[in-house]
Amino acid sequence: MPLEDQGKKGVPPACSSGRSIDVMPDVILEHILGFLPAEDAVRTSVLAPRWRHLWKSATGLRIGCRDRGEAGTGPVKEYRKFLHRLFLLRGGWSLETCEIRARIGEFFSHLRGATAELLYLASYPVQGQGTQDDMMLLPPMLQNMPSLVEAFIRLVRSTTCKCYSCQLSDSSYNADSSDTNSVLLNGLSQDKSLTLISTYYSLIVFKGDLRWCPIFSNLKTLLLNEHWCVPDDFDELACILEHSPVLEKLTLQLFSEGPKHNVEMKGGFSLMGPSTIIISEHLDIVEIKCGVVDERVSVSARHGEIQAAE
Amino acid sequence: MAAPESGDGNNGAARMVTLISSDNTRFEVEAAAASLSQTLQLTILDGGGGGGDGIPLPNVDSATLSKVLEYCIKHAPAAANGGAPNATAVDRAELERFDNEFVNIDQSVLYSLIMAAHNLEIEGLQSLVAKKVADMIKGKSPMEIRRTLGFPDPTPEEQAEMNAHMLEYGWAYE
Repeated sequence: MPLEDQGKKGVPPACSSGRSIDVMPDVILEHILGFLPAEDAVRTSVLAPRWRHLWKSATGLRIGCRDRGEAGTGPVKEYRKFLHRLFLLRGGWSLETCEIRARIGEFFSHLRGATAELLYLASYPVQGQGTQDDMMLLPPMLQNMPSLVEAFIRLVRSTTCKCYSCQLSDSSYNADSSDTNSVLLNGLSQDKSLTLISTYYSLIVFKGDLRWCPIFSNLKTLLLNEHWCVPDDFDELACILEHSPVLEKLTLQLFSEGPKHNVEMKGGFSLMGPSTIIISEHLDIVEIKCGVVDERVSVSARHGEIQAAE
Repeated sequence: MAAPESGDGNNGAARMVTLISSDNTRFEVEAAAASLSQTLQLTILDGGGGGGDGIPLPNVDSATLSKVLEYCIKHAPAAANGGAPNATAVDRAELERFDNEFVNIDQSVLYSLIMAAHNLEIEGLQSLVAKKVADMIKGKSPMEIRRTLGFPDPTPEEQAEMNAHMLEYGWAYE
């Protein structure tokens, strides 16, 4: 493979090693490819013979991350075909980053045996397909990710259903029926940083999980959205806090749909409540992100430093 | 600038180390900043690089090294805070602004930085520059990528091979 013109003037000799991307070692190129959406990564295989198989060892896997074609749009059939090929061909499951914004969760099981330090999962189910199937496929994958340091999980009930509180009753998922004790959270309990963006629907899953009380022994930062702080029902929040002995920072983001999303909350907002729970002594920061801070709202935390972001 | 627990045994003033580029330029920098490099960290922990000694870096020229150190100095305080769980949103936004501006550079400088970040094992910088190249590739056709990355125009044989490959990988181009 002929390289870029070597004879450029005025560049110190030591710099020449960095002049063409093709003289870089594979590890660097695999790192670069790890930042690309899976589709773009695969397509680099055509560039030159050397690039033929590089994408298969990319250090990151990003599915559903292209700018155009938001999750929930585009033909599912083609996408499924693409993913099928991708998982068939791709080796190297030692990932640094795994980012999945998927409309279908069936391929989660392909990730069994993958290791990643950073995991971003967002599930957007296709109409007519329930999230519960995704939910059942997630745990085996997560349990096999011992090196996970940071996880961001967002589960959305349905792309057509914007109202989170509706149709709660027709949810067929029943946490009790799962044969593994804690389906989701147990797999995550070793994380250092965890973001759980929950809708009512998936909160049911988390609720079921929490009854088994996983200990988040390494959890240092935690971000939760408004569905974790439904007034008068802070059991889940309390339970997570109680089981996070080294938690340092708690962020409550009260606009899961982006900064313009307004959440109206009535009722008391007291974490501590009458029955005081035991929270981490390391908890230094409680950050609450919301649009307007109503002065009637008061938040108290033991070592509390409250920061309200705009 | 505070430099706690980053390998400097001194109390009081921050410990300085000297780095010597391939073209023999000497850079004096706080040990905490230089320690962002995994490669240098052990040497610095062992007390190297101080006094008149200096640590030679035969693979990094002075232009690249000064750019690398600009990054290290900016990121050292946050790194000293252990990933800075208590960094404010303002601090984070400022670092992000710096990073964006930092990689807004000539491609040959970017390539030199990639090699230097790799050789010196500076994790944050490695990701920053890799992401920059990925952004340059994203959404482009193979020919556009070749041009962007500075590949020469393909010979007819190479072109034929590319076409054949694209047929084989049709599933990735739908």
